[in-house]
Amino acid sequence: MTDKKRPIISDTLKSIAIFMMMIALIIIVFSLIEDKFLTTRNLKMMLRHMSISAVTALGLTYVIILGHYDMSFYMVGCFAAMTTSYLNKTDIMMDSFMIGSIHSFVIPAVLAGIAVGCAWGLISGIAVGLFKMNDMVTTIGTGFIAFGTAYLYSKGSFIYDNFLTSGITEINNAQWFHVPFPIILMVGLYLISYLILSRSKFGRNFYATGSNRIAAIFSGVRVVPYIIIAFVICSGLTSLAAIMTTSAQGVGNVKASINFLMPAYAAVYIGISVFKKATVIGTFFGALFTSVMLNGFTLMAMPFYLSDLIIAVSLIIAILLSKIDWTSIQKKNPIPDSGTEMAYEK
Amino acid sequence: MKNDSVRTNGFRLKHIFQAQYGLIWVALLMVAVFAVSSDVFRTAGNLLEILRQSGILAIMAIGLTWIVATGEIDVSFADIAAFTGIVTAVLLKAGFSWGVTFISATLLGTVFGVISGSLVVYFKFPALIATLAVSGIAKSLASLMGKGAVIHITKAGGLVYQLVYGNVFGIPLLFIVTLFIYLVCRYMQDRTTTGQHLYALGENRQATQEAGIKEGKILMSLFILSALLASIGGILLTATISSGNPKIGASYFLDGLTVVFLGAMIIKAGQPNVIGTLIGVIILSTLGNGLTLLGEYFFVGNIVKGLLLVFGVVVVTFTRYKNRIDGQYSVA
Amino acid sequence: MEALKLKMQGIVKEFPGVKALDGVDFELKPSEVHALLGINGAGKSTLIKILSGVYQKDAGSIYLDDHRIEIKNAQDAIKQGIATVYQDPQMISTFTGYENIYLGSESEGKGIFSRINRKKLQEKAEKLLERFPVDIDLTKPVIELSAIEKEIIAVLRALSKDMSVLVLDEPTSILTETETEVLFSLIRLLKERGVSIIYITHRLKEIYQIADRLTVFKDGKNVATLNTNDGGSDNHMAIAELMLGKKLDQIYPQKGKNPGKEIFSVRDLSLNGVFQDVNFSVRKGEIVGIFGLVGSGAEELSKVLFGVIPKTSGAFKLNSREIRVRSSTEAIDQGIFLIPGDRRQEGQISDEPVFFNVSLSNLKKISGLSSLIHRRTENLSVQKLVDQVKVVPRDIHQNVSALSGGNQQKVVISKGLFSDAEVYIFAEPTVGVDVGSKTGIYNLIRELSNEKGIIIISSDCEEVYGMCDQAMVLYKGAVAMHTDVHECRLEEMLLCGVTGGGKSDR
Repeated sequence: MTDKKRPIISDTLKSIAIFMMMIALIIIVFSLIEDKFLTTRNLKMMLRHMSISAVTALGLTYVIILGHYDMSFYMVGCFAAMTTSYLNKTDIMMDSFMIGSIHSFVIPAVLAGIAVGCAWGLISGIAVGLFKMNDMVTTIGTGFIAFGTAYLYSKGSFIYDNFLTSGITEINNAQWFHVPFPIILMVGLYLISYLILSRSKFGRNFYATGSNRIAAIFSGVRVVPYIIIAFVICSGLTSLAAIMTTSAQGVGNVKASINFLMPAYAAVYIGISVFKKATVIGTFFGALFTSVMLNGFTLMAMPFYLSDLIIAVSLIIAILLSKIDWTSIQKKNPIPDSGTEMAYEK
Repeated sequence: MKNDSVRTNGFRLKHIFQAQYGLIWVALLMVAVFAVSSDVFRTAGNLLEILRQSGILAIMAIGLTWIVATGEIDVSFADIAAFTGIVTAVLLKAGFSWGVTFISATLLGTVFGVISGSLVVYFKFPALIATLAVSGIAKSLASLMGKGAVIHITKAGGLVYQLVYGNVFGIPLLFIVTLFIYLVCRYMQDRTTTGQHLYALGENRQATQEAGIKEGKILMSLFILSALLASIGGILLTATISSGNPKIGASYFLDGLTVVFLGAMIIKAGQPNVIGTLIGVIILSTLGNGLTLLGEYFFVGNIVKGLLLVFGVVVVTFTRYKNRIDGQYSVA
Repeated sequence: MEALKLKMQGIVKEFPGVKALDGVDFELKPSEVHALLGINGAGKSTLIKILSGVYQKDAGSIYLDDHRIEIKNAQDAIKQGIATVYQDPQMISTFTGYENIYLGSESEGKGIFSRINRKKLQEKAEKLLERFPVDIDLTKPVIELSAIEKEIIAVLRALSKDMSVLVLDEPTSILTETETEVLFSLIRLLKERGVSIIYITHRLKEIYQIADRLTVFKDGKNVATLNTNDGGSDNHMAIAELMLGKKLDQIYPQKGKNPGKEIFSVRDLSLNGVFQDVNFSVRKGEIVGIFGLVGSGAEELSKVLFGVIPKTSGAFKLNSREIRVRSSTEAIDQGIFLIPGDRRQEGQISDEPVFFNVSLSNLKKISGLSSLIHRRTENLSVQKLVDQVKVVPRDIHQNVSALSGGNQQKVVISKGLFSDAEVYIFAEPTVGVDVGSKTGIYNLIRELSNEKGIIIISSDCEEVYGMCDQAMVLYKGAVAMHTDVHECRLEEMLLCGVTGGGKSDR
């Protein structure tokens, strides 16, 4: 057997190197075009916006690792955002006390929002994991049900009440050691997810299920609970992101997270094209990439409706690039597939 | 007809029998409720309006029907329609004739199908990702052309007016055209090799490959066809509402998928098929019409459609489960 | 000299590490039914795959009707008129019989929108049935057909393409007695119509019922070609001997001497429609073997023992305690581990490294309260196991796909060892394993048996005979023989596996 060690490692390193160079290149180009690009203010703003799409993409990563798709999360987020906004508005103010600069009822409102998001994820997860329903279409269905239900809170109109007074905007505005809170949330969640997915036994089970579900079962992995949990996390994290957006916008909007679909998939898949599989770090890079692109173009006064175009094109290019076999020498001498041709059938 | 396979004769499998009839009962019940609650609903004019409005969605959803039957998905059809709708408005405003506009817009829209098909077939993108990206591009370009806003055009006159608003023996011409397209498509589905093979592909990829059938060719054709028909749908929509709207994507997307799965329940024992889709469209349009007339909030539509979609998926899943060869124990 | 339909001369086929066909000659007469017989790895499947274009021969020549031909791929084989029907043929279940028969060739036209005339297809199918009259309703969707009917459709499909040579690979493994009779009448019919048939099976009784001649394969060579009208069951033993031969080139480790206490036992285990009433117990120091060929239920038995397929009835006892095994997770928790028969699909996660594969069965051993994996502990313990079973190369960070078959199997065994199981079930332990690694694996298994309960389930009777102390033979789901290996001959075991030992079956 030929020595197989070197190609695989350097393959990924090559991809990472290329990718880093591309990001560097883009940053240089943008900073040349727009001198406002490299300012602290702009970078902070970019990271703020990135937090939201990054947290969403992080949730999606769990589902993609398993080899499934989720099309509900961006709509479930809307429901969660409206839940929080609604709870925020209701007059529980009488018995509230202050925690820092926020009223106490803000916290349960936020938690409730995340909780209902998780509940929707649970429904999708059970449908896909336990009942083996088609993931794409089922989640489209559950997503739209959630979205429609979100309208019930205020018949679709914005919720303004208590936004300025309850302190819910602190989620977006607070700064800990001069770092905006959303960024702290993002970094914290990514760290935790990294520990879970790349360092813990749960992560191993996730990747095993995604890589070869049957072999995972034969290794004693309980695949169904993992599938369910992945969908719960995806919807839950997106709900958090939707609440973060709501806090930033200062108003309860039923379309809070309706545009989160494309950037999330783009981030995860750009990560896959670099690392050959879905990973926390990869998704982070993907989210960073799309955020840098969006930020740069926004500074250049690109209209908002073109953002999907930028992201879509980036996604396609990233995947196409990854499919080019950089080590084309490898292809000319394919190693015979041990384990199949050798099998003497019965 | 005993000659036909399960596809055209869904009565054989008992549980589908129930689901299929169940849906028809629900539909009839729905119609009864509407008829009783709203005077307007009962009028012939209204019922004809339902048929007229069905046409556009019906045309848009044909390609999707077959793509889903193959086991893939296309999430871009609605945004492609939005795109061609805007292009139509732009070209008309610039003074081009309807003929030129129609052809140009259709061609441009079909390009998206070529892109999706290539990404999936040649570059092995997952269909969801490829069509998701294409839909983003289409939607953005649509917005770009109108600077994010709706483009209004003068109401169409002459031939187009007739097409959109005219009736033939009281039945909307648009619907008749739709029916015609459907009959052609039904022919393609049931009486040509591509139709046969796409169902084979959706059901057992391995057997299809072993039979020497080239799945790449089929998939490519389907993506192009889907884009083509979606384009036509978009053009007709613009003609109908006299404006190009870049944002119609979201609503037609859900509608399209829902009718495909409803249709799958009804006729071909859990497999998407064009006649089923057409019936699904009529049911959905009736539903939408009735709800509007009753003054129900528009978002209820989302909830109901979502529920219908999930229900449709449940039935289809159950059918696929039954279609696996029995007597074999499987692990996962 | 009679004209031959098919003549294969000097066929050689090698795979890395093994010579599957070593200069094989094979002849097929026109309108004859010629059976191919041989144990695992003897080469019969390889020969058939060369004939059907799946493999390419390394040397030798093939003559069809005295013309030299080359078979480059599967389409080529069909063009030449050679059709193969495998077990459990793939079909489109919602299509009707005639649609499946003509799948891919529904119309003359080449374009995308070529017309299909269903009525015409049906008529074509009817005409086909006139030539080969079988009692079957071709207008029913395939999903409603029984196993034999599906096979008939597969055969008809081959016939529709004007085949002159038909290869049937283990056609009766999924059929009942009655259905087998139906198949036989079809085969006789085909003979009359001039089709030459190669029939691969391990069921001797059937061969004598339906075949004109039979060829025995052993170690990649054609060992003998016999006529089936030379005597009946007296010949069976002689044939078994031919299949096995006297030399045992595989050296098996010494058998166990003093079996200790009972570790694991199975009582009245049944799986509806697949096997019934399996009883055995495993003691420390002894290896229990179950020999069963295709269709015997052996494969499913391995999965039922591991909880991956739920049993219909029966009980398990581990160390005198009754246990429930309702899932693989529970099985591992209880201390049972299966090294599965299909390594690529079931045994290993090919795209992941060795350490990932090995530790998966018992992650809690290397992760503490925090659930985080202690990489150092993992590396140490996995490396220890990997070295113990002698995986080469010993780098635990390389992907499993890079290893040879034998080493891959050792990785799966390591995974079992990592789970600290008490009972190890090996299903087809050396399939796809090169000869060199086999000995290593056998030694490993024997060593393991000194402390743990070992069960080997295999379709290789030499392996079961060589390795095990106690052996059972499964035939069509029933235990046809249960014996101390010392007290029976290898040929008897094989015979039992190919004939069921004379018992009447389902």
